Amino acid sequence: MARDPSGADLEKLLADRGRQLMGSAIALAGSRQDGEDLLQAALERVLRKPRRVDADVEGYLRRVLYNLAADGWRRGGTWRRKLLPLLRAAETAPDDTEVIDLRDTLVRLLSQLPPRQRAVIVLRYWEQRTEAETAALLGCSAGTVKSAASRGLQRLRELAVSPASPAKAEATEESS
Amino acid sequence: MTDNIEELLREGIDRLTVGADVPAGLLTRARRRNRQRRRAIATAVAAGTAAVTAAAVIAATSTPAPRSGSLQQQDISYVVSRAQQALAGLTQANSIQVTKVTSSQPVDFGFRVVNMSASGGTGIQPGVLGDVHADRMVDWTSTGFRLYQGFSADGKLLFASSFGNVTSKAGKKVNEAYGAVYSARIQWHSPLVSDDLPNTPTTCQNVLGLESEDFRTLIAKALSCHLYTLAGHQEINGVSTLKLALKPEPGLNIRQTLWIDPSSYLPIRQVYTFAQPHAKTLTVTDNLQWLPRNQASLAALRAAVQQSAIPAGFRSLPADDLPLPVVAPAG
Repeated sequence: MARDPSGADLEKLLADRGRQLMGSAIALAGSRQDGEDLLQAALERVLRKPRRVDADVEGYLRRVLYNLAADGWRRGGTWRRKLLPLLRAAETAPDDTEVIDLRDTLVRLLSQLPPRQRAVIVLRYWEQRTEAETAALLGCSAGTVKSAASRGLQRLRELAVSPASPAKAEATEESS
Repeated sequence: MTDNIEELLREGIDRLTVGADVPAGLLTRARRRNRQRRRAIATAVAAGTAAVTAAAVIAATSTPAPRSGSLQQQDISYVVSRAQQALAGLTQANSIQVTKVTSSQPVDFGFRVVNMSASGGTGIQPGVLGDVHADRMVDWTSTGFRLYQGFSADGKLLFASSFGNVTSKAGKKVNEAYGAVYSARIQWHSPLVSDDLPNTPTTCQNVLGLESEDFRTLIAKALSCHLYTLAGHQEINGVSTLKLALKPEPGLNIRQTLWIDPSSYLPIRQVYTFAQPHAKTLTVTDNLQWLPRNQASLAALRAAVQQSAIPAGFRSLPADDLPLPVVAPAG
């Protein structure tokens, strides 16, 4: 049943589950600062249209969070600005940079994926959601999730081996 | 190297998010930004709807002191008193107001689009729906509902814009703005929370520049401010009306005239004239009808709503973009 989340509801949710929500926001956004901004944007949406909230306030907030991330949230802003310095660094880095910590490299390269692929990767491989759960959260089909996950991983493999040119990455951003 | 990419990604994100506490004040900031956004929308909506009637920003209006003791003043006092009583007898529950808005000057009836997610400024989106130009407009006001229809000179419906309480599929009452520009095959549908609606208090200083949901209240307020003088009689549609003119004020670029039906003491016409520096004077005429709420008037309202139905296949504006009908100088 739909209801209004009171301020106390949201404060309690953030007190009880804030670390998990913040973690998801950071994973989706790529950095702590952008994760804070993303979670704040999701909270604003919940406050803006409180009557859409069903009994599961966390579930609703998460759906808003994932969909903001999947929709590009600040399309053309942070992600693009972050992309170019990253690529320049990759082009000029010594050959052994990426093997020092491949995990961090992959996380950084995650930011080069289109927003929806990025959200699918985070939901499927970090939050360990099933294809069906991911599809329900993002409002798409399981087939879309499957193909986005497959394309996202493939793209990460390609980027990990050979970082894309900025032009190529820009084209990829629009192609999801 | 990439065989364990899923595992490596998981570990990498774990490292990125370790100790990820919600910063203190995040919810407070979200609330503050939401309040700022609502205020920005309220300001923009008030400005936009004000333009429907006013068409121009009125720099300042002051309340002229009544000329006490004169016969003319006693006459105007009587007319104003009767008009106020007549308006007080009308409510949205027992009447439907229809205003036919025209202009004898080069004026367009179009839109100003406000982005509701903008957190600062007015959020006005220049260029969006900027090519919509109607020659006249009809404004329906009923309980919790308002419909603007824009027509071409040959009577073709060009746009419809509605604001009001509707019942959702789940049976809940919600505030929404929706409408369409038919020639461009564009539609919009913007849910509004109650706090999004403008709530600017009406005073004698701003009464001429505002348009409230309850137009009846606005005119009643203007009458109570002693802003008018009796300017004789004039026949309109066979009725010998009482003509009330806004007292001229130095620096006031607006002139308004009201025509009162002496049988009902309800205003049946108002004309606004705006003097613009470096441009032609704009004149906007509102022909007012106060229909009793009965089967005939409800049928007329339903017909207008049906006429404004939105066909399938129209392109939707982003949900955060709220088009507001405005009057603006042509060209």
